[in-house]
Amino acid sequence: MMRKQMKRDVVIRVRDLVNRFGSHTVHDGLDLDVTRGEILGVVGGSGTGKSVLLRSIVGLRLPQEGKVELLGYDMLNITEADRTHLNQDIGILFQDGALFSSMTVAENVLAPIREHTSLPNELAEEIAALKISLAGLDLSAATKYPSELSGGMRKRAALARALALDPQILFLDEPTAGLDPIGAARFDELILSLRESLGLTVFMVTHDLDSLHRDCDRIAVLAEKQVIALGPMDEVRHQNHPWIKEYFGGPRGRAALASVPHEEMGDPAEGARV
Amino acid sequence: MVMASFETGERGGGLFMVARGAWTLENGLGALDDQLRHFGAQSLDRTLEIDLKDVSELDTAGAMVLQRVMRACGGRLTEGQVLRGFTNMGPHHSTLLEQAAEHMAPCDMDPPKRKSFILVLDRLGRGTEQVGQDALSILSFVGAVLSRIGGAILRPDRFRMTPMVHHMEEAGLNATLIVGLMSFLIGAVVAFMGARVLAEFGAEVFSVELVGISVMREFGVLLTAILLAGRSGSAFTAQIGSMKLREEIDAMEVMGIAPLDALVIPRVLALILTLPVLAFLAAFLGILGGGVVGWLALDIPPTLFMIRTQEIVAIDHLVVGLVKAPFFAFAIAVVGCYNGMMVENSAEDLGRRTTMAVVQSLFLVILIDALFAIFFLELGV
Repeated sequence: MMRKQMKRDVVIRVRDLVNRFGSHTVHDGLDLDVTRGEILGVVGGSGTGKSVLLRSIVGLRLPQEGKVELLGYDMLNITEADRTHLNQDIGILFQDGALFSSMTVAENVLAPIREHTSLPNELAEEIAALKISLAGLDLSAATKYPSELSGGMRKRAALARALALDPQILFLDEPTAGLDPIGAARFDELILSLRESLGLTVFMVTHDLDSLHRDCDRIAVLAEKQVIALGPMDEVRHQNHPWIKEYFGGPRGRAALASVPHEEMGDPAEGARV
Repeated sequence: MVMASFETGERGGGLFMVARGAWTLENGLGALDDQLRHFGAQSLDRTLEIDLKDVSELDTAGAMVLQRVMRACGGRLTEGQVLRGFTNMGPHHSTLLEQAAEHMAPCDMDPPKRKSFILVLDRLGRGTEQVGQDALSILSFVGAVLSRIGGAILRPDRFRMTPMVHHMEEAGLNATLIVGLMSFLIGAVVAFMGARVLAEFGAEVFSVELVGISVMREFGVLLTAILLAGRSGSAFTAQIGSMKLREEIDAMEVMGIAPLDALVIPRVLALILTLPVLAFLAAFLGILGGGVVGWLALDIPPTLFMIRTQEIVAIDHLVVGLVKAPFFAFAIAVVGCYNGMMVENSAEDLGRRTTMAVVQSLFLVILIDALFAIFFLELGV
């Protein structure tokens, strides 16, 4: 697949990142690498700066110090033209979708296509329909306005918009928050299948333990202003940090572990022992 | 990156197509679209083979376009046959082509369009109905507000004093500077323009009466009301509307806090109390503006201006002006709050409602002013 061809090139490289709000330091010398084709889950307690990290990487926030490289571009010194180019290669799913409320779902998906390409109308609409369907939405939703959609449908519509230009990297900010368990599970499957078919790299901020188990190749744990653990689920959850222990060893963590197929996670009872 | 291109030909009774280059949105897929549609339409119901050997890159759009050509040619594809006809695919290509086949479907992107004449009639009808319903609904809101004010008078302990004082500060105190400045300038302009016309009759000194009467009777209160309609009426809509959007109003109702008591009544009363005060200030500064212009530009000494104002301009005019103020205030506040409570679903609606609040309250202010003018004419005041 795509991932094999691309080997292990790093698409997101964060070095010595420092983010401050006034006197409050959120990140202090944070390092993180994301390789092509992987799904990276970022977890951490409230206020550890998960969303701030995401915003720093995509260039919505200018960090105080450090270096952020996204697809080879230096995000702290990027030119306007490069930025426009880069924006076509990343897709972001904001927490509540951030769909344009004055446009229908179809128009929302068409917006980036119309902005960045000069396609004939018919083709653009066909592509939009394809993306809407890819995101798992019924096509009847295409003519609806965001306010007429349920939370789950809004997320899918926003995902369709994020996928509009076939991005290389998809950023997800709490994709399953606010979805019912069935909807969340479907969303997890959707992310996995999209990664397979489109060769996406996914950077996912999440609190959903099930998503972490199911989707993520690697997990980055944010605490103490840095990434304190980075690696596959099995490695990370055995680390001896109090927050990690509580997170994965708590009742919800154990329940999520128990529900995952054995081959991947090993003995389900293991979670209880951690 | 090689731009997307293709070649077609016939071989053994069937058609074949060789795709080349990067079949992605960035690489000229848009330019190929017309040719591809043409080719697809030409070769309906014939067998087609598409060779992907030279395709360097493929994205979902490219896969979709290829599948579309394939479908136009080979008819509908059945389950498990989505890749029939494609040769020399890479593994990545086949997944994309499968995805594309699975998810492509004709989709009605635009809401159904109708004939424009019928559409005009439709809008006219809906608009008329809407106006009637709005009027009824505002009227019922006015009734509810009045009954709540009555309730607040009967049970003063339940009245929310702090928010009212807060809104008096916001809508009243914070507006003094702009209201004062505006009336000062209006008074000056009236004096100046009036004096120019009156000078032709050698009656420049009558501009004192002109300023006094016009500012006290109309301009002071009317301009203050217009300013507050833009400043406070819209703010009321925006505040209450955004609370509505965040379900704060629903939370209040569930907790047994009546939104009318907590949000609307303090605002309405605050405006009713502050608008007359602001109107008084406006009248005063308007006369001051007229006086300053008279003194500096028209050679009417301040003492003469004051004496004439005192002797000739009756205090009735001020009363006539100020009597209108609470009615204006009520209209502005109620319309602002009403529109806030009516906000539904989206931020766009909030913007629409805010505009509507300003337009409606301006209209009402001027309507009420006209009614008062007729009323005072009949009374002979």
